[in-house]
Amino acid sequence: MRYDLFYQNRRLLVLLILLVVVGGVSSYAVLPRAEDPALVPRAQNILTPFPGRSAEEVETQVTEVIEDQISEIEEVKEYRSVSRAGVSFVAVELRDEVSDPEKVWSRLRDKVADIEAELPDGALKPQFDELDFKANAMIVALKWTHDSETNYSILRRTAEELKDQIMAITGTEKVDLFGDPKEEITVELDAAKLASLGLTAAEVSQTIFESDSKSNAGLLRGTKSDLLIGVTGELESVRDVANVPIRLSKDGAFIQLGDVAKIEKRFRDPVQSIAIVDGKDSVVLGMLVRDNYRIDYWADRVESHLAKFEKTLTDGIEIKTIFEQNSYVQNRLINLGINLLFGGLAVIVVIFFMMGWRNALIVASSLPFTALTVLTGLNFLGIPIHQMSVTGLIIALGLLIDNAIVIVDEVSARMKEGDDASTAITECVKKLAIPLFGSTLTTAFAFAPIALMPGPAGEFVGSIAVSVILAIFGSLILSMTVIAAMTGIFSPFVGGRSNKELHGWWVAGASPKKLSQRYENSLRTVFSRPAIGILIGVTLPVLGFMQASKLPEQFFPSSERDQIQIELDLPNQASISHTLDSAMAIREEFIKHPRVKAVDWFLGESAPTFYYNVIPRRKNFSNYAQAVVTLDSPKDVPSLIHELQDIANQKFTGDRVLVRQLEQGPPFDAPVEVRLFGPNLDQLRMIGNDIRKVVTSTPGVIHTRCDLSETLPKLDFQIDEEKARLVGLSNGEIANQLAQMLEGATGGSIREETEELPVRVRLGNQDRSQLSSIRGVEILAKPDGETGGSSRQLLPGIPVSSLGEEKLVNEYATIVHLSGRRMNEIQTFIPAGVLPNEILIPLRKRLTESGIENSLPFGYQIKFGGEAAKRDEAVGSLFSFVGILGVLMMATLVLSFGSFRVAGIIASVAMLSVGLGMGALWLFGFPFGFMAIVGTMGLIGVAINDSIVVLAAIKEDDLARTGDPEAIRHVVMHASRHIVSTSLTTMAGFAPLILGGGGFWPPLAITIAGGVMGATILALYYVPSLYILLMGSKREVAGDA
Amino acid sequence: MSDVPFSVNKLTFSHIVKARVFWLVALILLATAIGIVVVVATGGAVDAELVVKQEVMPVKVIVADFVDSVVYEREFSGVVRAKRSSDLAFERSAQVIEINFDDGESVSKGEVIARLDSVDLSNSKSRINAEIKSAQAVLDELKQGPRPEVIDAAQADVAALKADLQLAKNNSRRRDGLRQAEAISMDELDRAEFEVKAKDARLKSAEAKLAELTNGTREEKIRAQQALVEQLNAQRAQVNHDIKKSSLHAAYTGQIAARFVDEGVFTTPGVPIVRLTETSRLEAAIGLPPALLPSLSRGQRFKFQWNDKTYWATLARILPEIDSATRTVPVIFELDVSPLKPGQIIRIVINEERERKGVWVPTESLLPAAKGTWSVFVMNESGKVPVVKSQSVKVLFTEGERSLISGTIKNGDKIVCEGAHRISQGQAVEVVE
Repeated sequence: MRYDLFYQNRRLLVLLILLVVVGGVSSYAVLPRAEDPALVPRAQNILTPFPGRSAEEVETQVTEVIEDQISEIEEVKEYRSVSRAGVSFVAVELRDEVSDPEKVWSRLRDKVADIEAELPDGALKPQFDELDFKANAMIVALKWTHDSETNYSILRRTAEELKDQIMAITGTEKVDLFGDPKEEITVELDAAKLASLGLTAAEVSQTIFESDSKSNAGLLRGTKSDLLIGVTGELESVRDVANVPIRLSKDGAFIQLGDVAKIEKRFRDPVQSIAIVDGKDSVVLGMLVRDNYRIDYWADRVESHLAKFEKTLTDGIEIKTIFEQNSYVQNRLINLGINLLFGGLAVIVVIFFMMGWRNALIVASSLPFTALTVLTGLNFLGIPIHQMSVTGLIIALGLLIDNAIVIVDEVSARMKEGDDASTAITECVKKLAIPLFGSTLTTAFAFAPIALMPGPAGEFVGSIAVSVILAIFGSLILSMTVIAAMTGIFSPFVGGRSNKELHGWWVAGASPKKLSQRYENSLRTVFSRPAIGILIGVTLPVLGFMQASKLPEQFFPSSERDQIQIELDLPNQASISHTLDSAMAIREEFIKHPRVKAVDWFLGESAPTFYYNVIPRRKNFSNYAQAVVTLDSPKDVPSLIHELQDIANQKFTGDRVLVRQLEQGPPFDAPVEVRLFGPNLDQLRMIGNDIRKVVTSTPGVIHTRCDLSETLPKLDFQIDEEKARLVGLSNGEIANQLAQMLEGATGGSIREETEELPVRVRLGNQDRSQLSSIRGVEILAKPDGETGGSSRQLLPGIPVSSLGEEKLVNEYATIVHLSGRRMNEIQTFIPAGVLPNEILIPLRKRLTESGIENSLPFGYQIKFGGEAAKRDEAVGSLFSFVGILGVLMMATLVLSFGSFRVAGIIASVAMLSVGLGMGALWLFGFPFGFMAIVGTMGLIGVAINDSIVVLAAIKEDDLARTGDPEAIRHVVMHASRHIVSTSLTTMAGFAPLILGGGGFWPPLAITIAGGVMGATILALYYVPSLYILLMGSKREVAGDA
Repeated sequence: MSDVPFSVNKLTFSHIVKARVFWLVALILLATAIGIVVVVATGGAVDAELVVKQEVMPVKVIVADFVDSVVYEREFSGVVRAKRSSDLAFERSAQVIEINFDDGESVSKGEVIARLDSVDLSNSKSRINAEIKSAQAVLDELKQGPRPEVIDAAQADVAALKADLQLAKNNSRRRDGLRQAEAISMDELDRAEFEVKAKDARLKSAEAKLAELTNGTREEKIRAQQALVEQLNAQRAQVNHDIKKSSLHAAYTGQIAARFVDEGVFTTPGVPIVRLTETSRLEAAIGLPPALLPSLSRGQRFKFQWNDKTYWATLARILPEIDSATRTVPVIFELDVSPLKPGQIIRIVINEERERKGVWVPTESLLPAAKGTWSVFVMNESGKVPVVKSQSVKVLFTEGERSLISGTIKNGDKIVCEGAHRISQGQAVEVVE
């Protein structure tokens, strides 16, 4: 094997360089871009409507039946169900290890289909809906800006048209509409008129349904072909509905529906979702891009399309882009690019000082080459460019340089000694291959847990580690080939250069004499008494460990977006129009603030996903609304949130208004959640109230949300049994008639183009909006038509109020289960910028002090959720592979050094460097969190590298190997320059990230950059001292050398 | 291995300069590094000044004010109908030849609405008139008695007959003589004898007649004839009546609600021709629960809505029996003038005052308590910081958006009236306006 192949064969060198460049550049062109990684969808919703039933009935008759099926599937991690009046909602999440969710979903679908028959009458078919952990690439609103009343028909049609056009653009995966009212045909009857006809709403509805014969009536099976037989009479228009004959019960005369009812095509009233953009009624389109598609190309295409579309709009409709991910992506990538650039420059400057300009340039060239290699690797692995993969590249900056520095330094040194390039290269590569490979491998092992993390967390951050690993291996290979060759070609120490030139520090690097003299003395002192060295090395880490417990914890950093969100909760029984009033009032108030640029509301359901972890969880909640608030800049968001929250609390005392920051990490509902499990709803509510009391008395808690404490007031008509019996009606019949008249009974549908509009028979609005009118609704006695001798003067119906008294009762509005157990969750909201743990710890203390936990009845349990739970999960999955990798790392070390002792030394270095990382965090006042953990892993890698370099050098030298302090001192002196260079370059590489500020990068950067200073001391003082000590005992045992 | 390029041998001026430059640059770098450290240390990620404090929730309250009664408002429906409505028909069979009004037209009392064909009746009338004349004449005549001429004629008849008799007698004697002479048959003799008898009888008859004539007419006969005249008069009256019955008159002022028949139809008695409705006076029959009746009285005024406008009605009559199908008591309301039509359905609002003592609160301020009961939050300002306390209440009555409650609340208590779902027992609050 010719190690100097690339030096000898220049063409090969150029070819390799060209390969790297071309591969990288083309990958860059092709790689998809996104802001965040796409996660494998491991969650689905099952929605089962059960109209007209209370939450408790839904729970026992529908939700529990479905949950039984879910519990039989082993791949399910957790399932959470919400039973509300009229609907059952189950969200199923699969285990992190599941890589092919489709199979599991189809099994689940089959199981649910099997039990469909067990579901009660009145329950509709369960619908499956995949939950996308993906943010919309663009959210566009069509606003109604005309003075006249909003014409939703036009808005809707326009939106549908735009949707179709956007779907036709390549790269679009899905377009959803929001605030889009559903159309239906309403047949409005007067209650008394209905009674005078002797009909119930259900009967009218049934008649319409029977007139609507869309189904085929069989086949004519001839000898040659089969012909479908249809009975014509399909309902095709409003006119057809009007012409439906309604039979009169008594004398069989026919009249037409249009004669007794008002039939219109209009929007479902009340609407179920409303979108208000810039204060105007709107229909909003949320667009998703395919996973591996370049979002910037797509965005450009869509924007030009929108510009064209805008010209075709009628007066009164305006387009506004509420959100587009592409600009954030570009921003972030540009930022990262700048960081990369500055990092690179910083590194170059440092190298310049240490090694002279020629070498510096050669080393510097490894940066772009490695970067291009990484891009090619990402392309190969199918990882797009997003904040995680670029983060990895930045982290790798300081690390990948090391390989190049070492090679260049070694080769230069040899050449300075007088070796010719070929020999120098060959010797160096031969000598350094294994150690470098070993150190690269161990660094890779240090990062591997992140890459191997299972589940969504791993999918999210894994690409950081992948980038780093690609980078360091890439730099390893490049260093041994291209860089080595280039050093040989361009080295200043090629024979023939004057000595004078050689001695300029900018040519060969600086090493001021006095400093090095002092340094050498210190080494001498320490190595003669190794214990001091050990002490020096251990001091900082130990300090760091001691401070670690005082570190505030913010596991997931806040995002750096110029957006915040508002969640609005009215009491359960609030109508959507009431919610609308509140939302508009809040908007008016907030928009006065100079920093608030836009407030866009989505009522009745969650807003479209505009941030990857703000997942839409609510649908058909008339008392709920969510707003996306755009600010002027992403700076100082927490203080703004405090201001707005205070205003909201003061002015909107009827609503729960939560102004929330966007945070990174897995989605959670509330930062702190206290979960109470138990069998009995009343008890859950009572204990939950006690817990809530403790929570609200904890400082720092702004709002709490507790579903079981809220209620849905219900007007119960308590029917007088006697009266009901006398007129021949059962309670059920009365209830049915009333329900069908007030809410409407649907029967039949009209097909319009591609949509089917249901036909709904109900009372006119004036009849169902006043309680006095509802009391007067006529219930038809003996609906079969045989009335016994009613006086000819009276209507044959009985007003409801005559049948019984009304009573206000409270019903459970929402019943929540977690993995099959009834749960009362007290969600706690805290001020922005306050770490959840800061509130959770005192809260837990208070809870214990209050004695609630101890006095829980049998079968009841308290658990904690929120950010803390997610954090535990993340840490758990992060460390799931640590054990194995630790062993692998040790094995590598043992094998490459052939000594357990040496491996042990390095292992101790690894542990100590963790303390260094903690110390660095504490010193600079940053919280401990996920990024800090990643940083620590990187730090371990770096620290180990430095120690390996020293130990390898010691082992190389025959004398030093035995533990002779003098020899070791020499070795260490020589290795110092590498180590100091690598440490300085690492620090320089992270400097821009630290300077950039914010909460996302600094913990990571500080951990590595700060910790590396201590790691240098460890490598230079601690490791050799320990070695001497260990070897010394060996020597003593073996006698004198 | 030597790693010190700054050779101890040659320490030249250039070296010193280079060294100085080196130190300068190194110093600048160091200063920058320290600067970074300072900046970063002071601008730490976590805002250390954010002191976590006890949050106080702003709330709005209302002051509890007890009322003594509530008004229970209910609506009841009924059908509007005209006070009077009649289907008019003819009493006889004939062809309808005239109908003067169409559906919807107004008719005044007494106007002719329709007519039947009465030509045959006219003819009958004429005939009867003639018969009456004749009968009357006969009666007059009877009353008058026979005329002198007639008596003279009768006398003449008698005289003639006497002469005839004499002749016959003479004839008979002659024949007698002849028979004794056996000149003629017995038969001939008999004939002559019989003739004498006959002529004698005739003479007697004529004499009787003469006597009758000279006596005058008998009473019975006159009476009989009178009766006949009366009978004929009655017949005439009947025909007149029938003729009158051939036109249909409006019994009262109103509107033609329906026209069932057109001209030319042959109608029979009782078949409705038109429906006349007294639309100026409308009523509605509404079934009310018996429990409501004590609070109602005749003459009471009630409101009802139609087409978004308000109209009034007066309670006119309460029927005595409960309608079996609906278990309600029909109550008749007279409606004030309005554009309503019979057949339309109206809703009357009836307010019932019930005695209830309680406090009105918005329904959204109610929170669930144990076992289906309710609670509200009441301010407790006795401590340092105002907190809320949960109080058990009972809902006496509800009007949808607001409810009447009673319980452990006193007059003057401050009750949290909105946003109760945000707060919990014992939470620190502050009242805002």
